[in-house]
Amino acid sequence: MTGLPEPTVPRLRPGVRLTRDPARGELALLPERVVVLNDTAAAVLAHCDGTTSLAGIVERLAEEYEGVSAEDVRELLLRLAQRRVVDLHG
Amino acid sequence: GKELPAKKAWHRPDFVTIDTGMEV
Repeated sequence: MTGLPEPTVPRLRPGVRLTRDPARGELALLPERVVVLNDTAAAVLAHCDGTTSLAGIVERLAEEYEGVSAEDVRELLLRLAQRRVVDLHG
Repeated sequence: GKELPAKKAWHRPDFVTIDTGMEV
């Protein structure tokens, strides 16, 4: 148990931008910080629009990926919230 | 006649952070 709130309707925090760099791959850009994402992490963040619930994000990911783990998505969002990349509640 | 695109295999999402100390 981490003590963090559960993600409900996650969204990117203001000032966070997703982009793709030819050398580094999928990135989230923050002031003075770069987050290098693997492809599934980038796919999760692409669905964090502040209106789609955690369950909805998992559902959308299941259209692209076989064997999506809701627990993986939840853990990722909690870790990204700790680093101020996402807000967990829109 | 349309083929559905094959789904990719899910793997654990992960990331690394780089503190740039400057505007990105």
